[in-house]
Amino acid sequence: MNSLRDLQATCYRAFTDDSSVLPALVRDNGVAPDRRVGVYRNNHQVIYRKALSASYPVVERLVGEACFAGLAREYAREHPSRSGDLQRYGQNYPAFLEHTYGDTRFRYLPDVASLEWAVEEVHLDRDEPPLALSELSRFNKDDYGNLVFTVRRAVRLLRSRFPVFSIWRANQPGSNDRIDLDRGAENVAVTRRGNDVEVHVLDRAAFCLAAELAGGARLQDAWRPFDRQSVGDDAAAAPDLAGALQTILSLGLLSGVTAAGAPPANT
Amino acid sequence: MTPGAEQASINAEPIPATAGIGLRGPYHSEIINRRPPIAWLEAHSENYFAEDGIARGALERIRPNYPLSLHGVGLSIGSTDPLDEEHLHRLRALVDCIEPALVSEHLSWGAVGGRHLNDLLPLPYTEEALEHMVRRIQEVQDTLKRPILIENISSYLEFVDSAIPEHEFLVAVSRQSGCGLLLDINNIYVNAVNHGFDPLIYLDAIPPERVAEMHLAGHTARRCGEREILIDTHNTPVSEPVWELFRHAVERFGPRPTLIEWYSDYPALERLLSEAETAQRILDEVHELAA
Repeated sequence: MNSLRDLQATCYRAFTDDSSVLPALVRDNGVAPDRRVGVYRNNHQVIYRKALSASYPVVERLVGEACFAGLAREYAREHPSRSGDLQRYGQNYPAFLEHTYGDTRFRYLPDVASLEWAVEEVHLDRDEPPLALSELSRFNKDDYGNLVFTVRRAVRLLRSRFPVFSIWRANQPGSNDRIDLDRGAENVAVTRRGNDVEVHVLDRAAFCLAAELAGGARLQDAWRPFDRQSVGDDAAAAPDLAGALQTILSLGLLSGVTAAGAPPANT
Repeated sequence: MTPGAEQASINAEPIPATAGIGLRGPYHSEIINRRPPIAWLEAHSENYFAEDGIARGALERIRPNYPLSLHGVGLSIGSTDPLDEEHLHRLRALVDCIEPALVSEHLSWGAVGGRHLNDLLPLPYTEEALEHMVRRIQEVQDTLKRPILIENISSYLEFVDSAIPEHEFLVAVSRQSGCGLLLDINNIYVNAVNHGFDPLIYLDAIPPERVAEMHLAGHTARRCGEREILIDTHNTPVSEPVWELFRHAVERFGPRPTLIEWYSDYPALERLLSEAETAQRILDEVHELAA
């Protein structure tokens, strides 16, 4: 008799890899053992395809069901599940697609997958109330440059060379929009509003400011790269710090603020 | 909300011996906003592990309005790997938060060597597996500080090594570990067809006092050479032979909390509730005949 551990190890191998190792240990009962093993091998593929499909419906729509199923099989081989909870199973899928498609004309797929995974993570994340604009009134205007903001935990910032937001939106259920892949880069913020996950495309100034603030930069340092770039530019076209900050605040991307090296003005 | 008020908002009623439905994400909004009359709900534990996730928030809003059971699919109790401490810890945190009337898992395994198959896989019904299963259920019950229910699974193969009929194994697990039984009537029917046994003999061997809940679901037939194998797909209405078997189960066990499971290709909530009405009608008819 096989030990329970040996039998389970043999089953794992039979369901994922070599189907020939198990049938001798399985009763016939009117259906050939290899066909019975085949049911579990098929279930194995269906379980992980469905898990990825739940997280990456846009990628599935873009590549088609058959291709998606083939990618799911490959992904399951490279990234076997390590948990009884499937909610994080797809976390390596964007990197897997980068490896698979990074040098092809489908190289936008990893960015689409990154956006879809950001949506998944924000669904699962701890959240906190967004920072209200009125909170800034606690500080002297002279100290604004020293302000350090906290980005909400349920926020993801995604930089892309492709119109990733437009691709994502055009492939939501019921949409049949066509996207010109040459329409340019789109940078995206994913966040929560109540029980809904929202995806926003940010202009370059707002995105870069948010990314710098997320890295812990003081407001004056976060904006410095833009100030340098705008030297010599038409002043009217220069990025607008107040506008970018207003955008970030109105989308609820920030949750807290302190003044580095200076106490709050009215506390 | 004060801690005291939070406590008071929990629906402390036990699961009634009536027909409820499985709670899934697509139904959250409707159940929160419309509060349809549903006898009770059962949630898959793992779907609500993220304690600050949107799904957990929905469950916390639903909880005060309905008796609720938590049903796990990922603890892999029958695996020979050590119990996943993190998974168990998250389950305990969910149980502490939601205070479900019942907590259940499966007579199955699903991982070996740290690699998961995320499936409910059959055990060989041997003395070794029995001892292992009993020990592991006791570990889970000790951690959760409450008895759990164990559910019989659908299976598509039996091991040559199995020396104990499934129903005897299930009863022995229950008696030796102190867990209750969640009898899935569809799974008994599916296994009876797939392995060639009489489902009535199975049901009649189960002591009524050990049965705390029943499940009903749909299945799908798949051709395997000359024969068909029934697959537990949870995406179709309950079949006629399963309704008949359910009637027999209610006659034998008396009314028990009964759940309609429908876990993919989701129908409108009304369709699910009409399946629950059919189950309730059988519970009522058998009760009236017995009265």
